[in-house]
Amino acid sequence: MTEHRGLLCEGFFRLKNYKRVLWWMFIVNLGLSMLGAFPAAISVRMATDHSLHARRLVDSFDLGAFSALASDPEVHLFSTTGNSLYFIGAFSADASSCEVNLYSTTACSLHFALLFMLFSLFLTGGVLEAYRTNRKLATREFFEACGSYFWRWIRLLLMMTIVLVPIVLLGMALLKHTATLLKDSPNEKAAFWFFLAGAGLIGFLLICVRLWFDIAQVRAVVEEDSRMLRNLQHAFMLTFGNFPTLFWMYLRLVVFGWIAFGLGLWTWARRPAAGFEWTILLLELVVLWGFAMRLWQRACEMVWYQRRVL
Amino acid sequence: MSFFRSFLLSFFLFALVTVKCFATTSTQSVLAPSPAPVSTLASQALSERVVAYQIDARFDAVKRALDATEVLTYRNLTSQPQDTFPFHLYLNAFQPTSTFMKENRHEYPTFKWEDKFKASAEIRALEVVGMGDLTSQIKFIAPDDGNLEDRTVFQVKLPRPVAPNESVQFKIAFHDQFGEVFVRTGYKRDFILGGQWFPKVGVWWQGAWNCHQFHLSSEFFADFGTFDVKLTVPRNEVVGASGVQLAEADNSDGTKTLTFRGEDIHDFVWTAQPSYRVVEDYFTGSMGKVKIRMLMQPGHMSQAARHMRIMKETLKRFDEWYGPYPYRQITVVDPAYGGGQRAGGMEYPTLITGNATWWMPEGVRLLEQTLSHEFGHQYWYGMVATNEFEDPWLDEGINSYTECKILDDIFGKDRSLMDLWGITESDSAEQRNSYRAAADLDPISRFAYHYINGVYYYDLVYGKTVTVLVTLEKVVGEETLKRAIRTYFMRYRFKHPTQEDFLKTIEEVSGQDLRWYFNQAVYGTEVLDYEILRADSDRADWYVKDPPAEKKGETLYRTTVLVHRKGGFIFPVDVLVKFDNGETVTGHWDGRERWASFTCDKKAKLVSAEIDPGNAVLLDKNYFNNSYTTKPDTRATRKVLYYWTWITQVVAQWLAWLA
Repeated sequence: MTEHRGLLCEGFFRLKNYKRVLWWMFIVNLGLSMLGAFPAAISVRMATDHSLHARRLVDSFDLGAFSALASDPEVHLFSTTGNSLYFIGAFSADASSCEVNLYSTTACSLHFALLFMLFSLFLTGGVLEAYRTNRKLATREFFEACGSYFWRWIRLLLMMTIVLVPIVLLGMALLKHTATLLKDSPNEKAAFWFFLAGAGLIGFLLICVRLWFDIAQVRAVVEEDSRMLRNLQHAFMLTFGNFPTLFWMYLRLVVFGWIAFGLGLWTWARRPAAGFEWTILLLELVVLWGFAMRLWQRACEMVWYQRRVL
Repeated sequence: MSFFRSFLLSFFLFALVTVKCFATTSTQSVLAPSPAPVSTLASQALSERVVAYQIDARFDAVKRALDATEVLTYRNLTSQPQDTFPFHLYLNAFQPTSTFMKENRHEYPTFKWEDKFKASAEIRALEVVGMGDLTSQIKFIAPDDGNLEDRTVFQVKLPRPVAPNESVQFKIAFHDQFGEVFVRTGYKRDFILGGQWFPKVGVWWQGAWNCHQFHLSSEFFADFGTFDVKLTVPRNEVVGASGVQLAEADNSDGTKTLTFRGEDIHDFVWTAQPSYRVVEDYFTGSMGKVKIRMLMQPGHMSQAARHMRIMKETLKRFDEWYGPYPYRQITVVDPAYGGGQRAGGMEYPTLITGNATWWMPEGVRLLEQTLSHEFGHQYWYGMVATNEFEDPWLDEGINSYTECKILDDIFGKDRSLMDLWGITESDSAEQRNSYRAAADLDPISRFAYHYINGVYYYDLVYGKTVTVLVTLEKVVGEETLKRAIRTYFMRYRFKHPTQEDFLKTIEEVSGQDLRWYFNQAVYGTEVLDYEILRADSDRADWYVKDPPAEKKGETLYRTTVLVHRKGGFIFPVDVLVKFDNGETVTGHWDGRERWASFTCDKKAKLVSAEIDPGNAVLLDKNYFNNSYTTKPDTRATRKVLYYWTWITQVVAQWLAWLA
């Protein structure tokens, strides 16, 4: 550990030293998402692969053609009912007889997204251990660490859910008041500004909660503390006793992440109609950047904890 | 006959004629000549002017209430003596027990009544000149559903009938209480739109009084005439109304009285708001200069140019394609945001309301669609005054069709509704998609309030009519249909035509018998859906034990294309078959049988088969099954797969924040 490096800089080096975990996350995210998207693709291909009308979706993006496709009962693109496991059967089923409306396209994607969330939770132990030791862990070591901390993270997740409840309620109240302002305010933009301010407040509270639980995870790894409630209490005092430093570190990386996301979408929106491969590359870079920001945050938290506490 | 008797007879006859000529009973048998029009560009009356309204109204901006006296002169052109007259009191629809509100609750079971929406129109006195006070003779009726709690129609029986070709004068004192805008009429903050605010007499149509109750899905129907309206409002109000403003006078009590006149129109609306910003310009049409007067919300001034642009472009095309706009002015109202926008997207004679928002980007043309549509109503409904209760498709549907043609012409066919970030949509595609959702539910010839529900009413009356008319272009030709619609307008403006009048005009102009089409598309609920069931090429020498290797251009193939009519709608279509040597063969199918097979022997293999190449048959419910390519093109699938994957990645990434 080099003390002369700044927090962000040191965190970046730790991320760089163990960048394989970034690729694992990205590849698993891509793989699970593709699996989640397959029912949609299978639903669609029956209508589009041999149809000349499908060209309207290729050359540009004809929204009328897409909504006609999505609302076709034989395609049933945005279904949410049915069992997502049926997609497995769709691989082997004959296309002409495949009853695509039996399985859910949207629910399937959501299931795989949740699966990825659990995977990320699982990886966290190994990631933090790697950043703690600041060396490349062997694969076996890495996954051992992942496994040994996983149950602790499950417990922390449950506690986090409880902590998030009042924030969710606040969010619902915010939406309700926005709707009222939309109808009744003499200022047409009042609802918009209120919503933005409220979203900013909610965002701030979410960052505070995330930071608190991140430090709890870091502490659990460094101190090898298995008692999560106690861990949480210590983490609370640490986090809010050093809030400005931690928040500023966290916020910068959040902002970098959102700027890249926005820039990516803006560039995508201005792309020429052709060049689909370029679109894929750009959008995947956006996703990769998001993961990099998140791992960078974890590395910086570990560096901060080690410098501050040890 | 003796001289004396002859003299007595002559004298008697002379006296009779003289007395008749100068009689001043309750009826007027001599009509004064009409003064030269002031609100139209014509030199004489354009319509029969059955009604003449003179209304003197005073609006209380604090109470949002209005007191008025109305003098309605009704000319009995019904060819029958009339002693019973029905009137609309539309404002009474905004009460919880009205038919309108009951239908609303039925449509939206979670709807909760709020007192702020309550509105009413109360008749304080009704006198018929020469027949006395008939206030006690007012009787509310419910000719559509028998709902005795509905007070949107009343009738009054006169002690003696009004003879044909004679006039009767009603003097009505009434009080309006406006509610917050629920739909179309009412207030929001300091904005008020006074629509359907005065007692309006029904229409004698097809041998009977036509005076429907106000329904959730219905609009209006009235006779042409003149409106002389004096409106007294607080002095700080900026006012817009139908017709043209003739005068403005300040009163000593801090109010002002504005005088409006509208001629050859069948309704009168007004609006007021102190903070309206007025923007005016002119359009020169074939009849002369038309003033476009816009009343904008202060926060939307940056969109004034956008409003004006679409108004001029629309006026120009209507003038060129269908006929002249004969009024001196068109007023465009930008209603107050929030709940006030419930008054938006509506038409009245010579006044329309838009639906601007501060955030609407130029590439999303909902504003243009609304204004083009509402202006189009000046023709379909305003001048060709069809019965919106019974034939809603004749105004909404035809108007939606002309709106599509106009937006296509201005912005390009495939991007007339949206062109943003590479995402495009055409207006007619959007209309078609809404029709597809309700394709087999109701015929478009249905009464407005008889549809299965309000959403499908919209889908069919607007969406299906557009789809029917665009498909009809394939049968008669686009230019012929345009000529037919122009003929319909020029023939039936300032009249009350029926759906058969419209359909017969198309048949007359096209010179074709189109009953087979209209019976299905207008009066029926058959669905049009064709598909390619099978398309392939097989070697002609398939039975040979060791056939020679396939050689392009030398091997003979039998190509079979099997087409199938999935729906009940029979429509002749072309089938285009393409081969790998570049040749194409076009077959024609009348669609009468459920399926048809096309075969062709060629030294070339099939590449693709397509029903209705060019997608001119908009009524076809599914375009994706209209064609088949032997070689799959997976680009669309890969595109959908990729974007779906990416969205899932992002959602997964956000969910991973919990970890």
